[in-house]
Amino acid sequence: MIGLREYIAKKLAIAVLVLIGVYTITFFLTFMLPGDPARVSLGQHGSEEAVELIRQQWGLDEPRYVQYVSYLQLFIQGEMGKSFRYYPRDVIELIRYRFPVTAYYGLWSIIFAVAVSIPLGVAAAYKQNSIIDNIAVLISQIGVSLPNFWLGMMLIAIVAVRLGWVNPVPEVEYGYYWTPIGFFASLKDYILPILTVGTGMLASNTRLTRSSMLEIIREDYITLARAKGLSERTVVLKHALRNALIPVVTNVGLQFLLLVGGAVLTETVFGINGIGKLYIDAINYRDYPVVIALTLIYTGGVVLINLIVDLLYAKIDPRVSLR
Amino acid sequence: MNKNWKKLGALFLIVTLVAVSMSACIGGGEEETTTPPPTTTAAPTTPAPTVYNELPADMDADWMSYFENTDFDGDGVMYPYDQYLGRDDNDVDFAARTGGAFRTMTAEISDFDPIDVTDTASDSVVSKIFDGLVQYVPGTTDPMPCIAKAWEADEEGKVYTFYLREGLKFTNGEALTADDIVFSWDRLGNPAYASARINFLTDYVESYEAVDDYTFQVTLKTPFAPFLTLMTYTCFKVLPEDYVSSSEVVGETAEEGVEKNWLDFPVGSGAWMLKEYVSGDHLTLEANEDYWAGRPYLDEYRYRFTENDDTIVQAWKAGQIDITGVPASYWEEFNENYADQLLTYSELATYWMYFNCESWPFDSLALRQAVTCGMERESVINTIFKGRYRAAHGALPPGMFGFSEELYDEYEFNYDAAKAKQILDDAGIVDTNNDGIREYEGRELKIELSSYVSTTWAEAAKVWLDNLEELGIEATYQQYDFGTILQMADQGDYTLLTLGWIADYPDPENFYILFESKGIPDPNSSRYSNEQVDEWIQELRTNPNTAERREIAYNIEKQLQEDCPHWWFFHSRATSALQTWVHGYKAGAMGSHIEKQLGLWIDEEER
Repeated sequence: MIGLREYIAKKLAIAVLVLIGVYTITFFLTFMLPGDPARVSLGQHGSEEAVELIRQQWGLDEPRYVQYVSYLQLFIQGEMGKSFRYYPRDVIELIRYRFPVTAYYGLWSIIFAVAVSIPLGVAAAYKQNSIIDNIAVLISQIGVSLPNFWLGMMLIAIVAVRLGWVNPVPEVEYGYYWTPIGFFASLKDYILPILTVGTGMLASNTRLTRSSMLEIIREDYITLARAKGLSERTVVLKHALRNALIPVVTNVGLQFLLLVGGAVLTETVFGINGIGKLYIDAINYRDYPVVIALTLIYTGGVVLINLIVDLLYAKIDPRVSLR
Repeated sequence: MNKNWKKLGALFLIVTLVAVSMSACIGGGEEETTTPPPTTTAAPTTPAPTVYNELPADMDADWMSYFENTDFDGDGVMYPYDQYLGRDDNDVDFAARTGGAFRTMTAEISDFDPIDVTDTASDSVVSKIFDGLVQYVPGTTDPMPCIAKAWEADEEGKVYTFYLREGLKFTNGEALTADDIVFSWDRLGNPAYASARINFLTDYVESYEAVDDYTFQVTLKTPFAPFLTLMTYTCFKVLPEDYVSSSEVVGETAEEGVEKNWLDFPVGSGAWMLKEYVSGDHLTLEANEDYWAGRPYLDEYRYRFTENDDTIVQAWKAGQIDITGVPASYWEEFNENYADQLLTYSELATYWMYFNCESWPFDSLALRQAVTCGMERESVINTIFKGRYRAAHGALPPGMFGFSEELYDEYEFNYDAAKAKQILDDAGIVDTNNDGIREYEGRELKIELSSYVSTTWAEAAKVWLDNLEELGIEATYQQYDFGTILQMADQGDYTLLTLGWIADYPDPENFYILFESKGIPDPNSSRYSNEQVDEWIQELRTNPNTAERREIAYNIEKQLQEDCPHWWFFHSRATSALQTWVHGYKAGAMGSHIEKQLGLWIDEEER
């Protein structure tokens, strides 16, 4: 078993390599997109002269490798350059303003999904083939099969428009949702996107928790624990659940990854200006700096979350050691 | 408030004068016959009306007469006496209507600098914060005075002198003078700024100068008939020199880039000011209380950044916003349930498919003509577009000067499958090997209809593929994202390509740049070239005579109809749905986004 410090250092070194690799791939992929960013920005009504000047302003007239290196230099200095579409605004500024809302409904989606799926999965496994079990399985199946955006649009049409319970578009003052009160008060406005995103997560988590628990409960050491005379509650929660959660933690980690990218479809449907929408818009508008910056942030997030998941593993399962 | 006092004052004056004249009349004599009140022209009995748009005394007589006898906004008050240009002077009830906010949802606003604006969302904001020399009469495409209170042109039409209103201020208190205009145009024409609209200046303007604080003179390279409407364009709007130059850093060349710190706090002389902007979330404008034409009724104009058309409609239905567009899928529903809340206006736009006139196979005139009358137009518009657009038979949209109803009705290439086949047969473009596909220059006629992403175009394409099959042409339909479409247009990498054109300014010349040889490949992406048409276009550009221009436009349209450089599809109409509590919303053929909406008001009780 190696120490924590060495483990983290090793992981970080790998992370840097991964980031550079991803940067390189992303850089060349974006430049392979058909269509010139300056031309797209100007549309049909731009003159040749204007297009050329804008290309110069954005550095697009330099050779590829020069652009590659200059972006790399920027990143090393902790900057991310200026957006093409919103020139001369900085990419960091754009991301900074859009991150809070994605983080908000994303976090709640996970909380919702975990809070419902784990108890449900455990109960389903514990009372296999009972009503609870059947409900859990049904929910999982539906949740996994339902297209994300369809669910969102249905929720808007029925809950927001038909019933009028909530606004179709969240009407919360920017940033309010990250204040102590606002964190809970804004739930009302964001409940639909949270349900939309959370349902898919919840479905897969429930299934996974249930099947994982089913497996664990049959294990010998559980029977032994019962035989030892431990209370049913201790057996289930302390021994079985702990081990059953390992694959679930992995899954939740994966779901976090997807959220870091921002639920693109959900944001489009609900009119939320988060990271997901920024990403898809940037691709459509050929806003290369934003695409590259977001990809790198996303990759960085993936690496970070992987690291956290690994550490959690170590905590949950004593058999797993840091290598 | 002022208006009420003025009314009272005028009433008091009139009553006093009547009383005086009555008492003079009564006290005059004891005769039984009453003498009529004195009517002399020597001493005026009512006060002279105030001239708000005072014309310079030394103006050319013809120009002076033009301004003195024009009622720009059609409210019955002649220009010199019109205080609320753009609003009906009888309608101005500030007390009752002031207050409230107008809430909209729009795509993200990306630019506050007038010289960079290329999208309608940003244009909507910039048109409200900044003013230009001239503007459109609200809801129309006629130019009227704005910062300039009057103007003159020399005989040739090459030198324009603009007389500015005195006492205009930017919202930070800076006075607006001709130097600010020079500064603003310098920025537009300076390559280091890389303005998206640099050519709007450099193509037409030779030089410009501030003759004095309130006189601005422009010399054109050649006479340009649509010059005045070009001046309404956003890129020519006026920025405060001191404020902007002190918070801006610009390099020597475009490569060095620019820093514009003032972008967070744009300051203009327009009817609105920026109140709040959160990138990615929303933008709020507030009324400029000191605006020269009277402040807007509303306190606030709000934009929330939401692009999804469906979501916007739902938000409108739920009362979250005050206006929405009407996507095709909601067209019938809205016409049924909200018919009297709809505002429809013809846009100065034509949508079409480019033929690639330079390459196989559409370098053949016969093929172009055959396909033009071989694909359904009217029926597709009626079924798939639910009849909301008008079929196009040429380049110019109805409502554009130069559009001819006569030519429209006489169009020779309406859908006629038999005629199409005949044209091809006559040209020798036949099916030699009996596989159902004709050949041209030895190659089987297999083409692609390329379009941008749109469900309605996709539906229309299904019909067209069948039409073409019947004609003996094998066609496929493929969608691409907009950036790719533009690239295909630039590089000539297509056979039939869907695009359209929306007028930059309401003059036919703006459409005809797409058919000039010197415009190849952009904006003339069809690569159409006709020497006679080139000559006509140049004449259209420089000849100021309206009747002659109309004739030239007629000739050009006729030629284009014959030569079929594009497959004309439709002229669009824009439709907005307004809430019942919204009044006075203006939209003209140039779009609602350029309107200042001074006359827009909300009935708070109804809401």
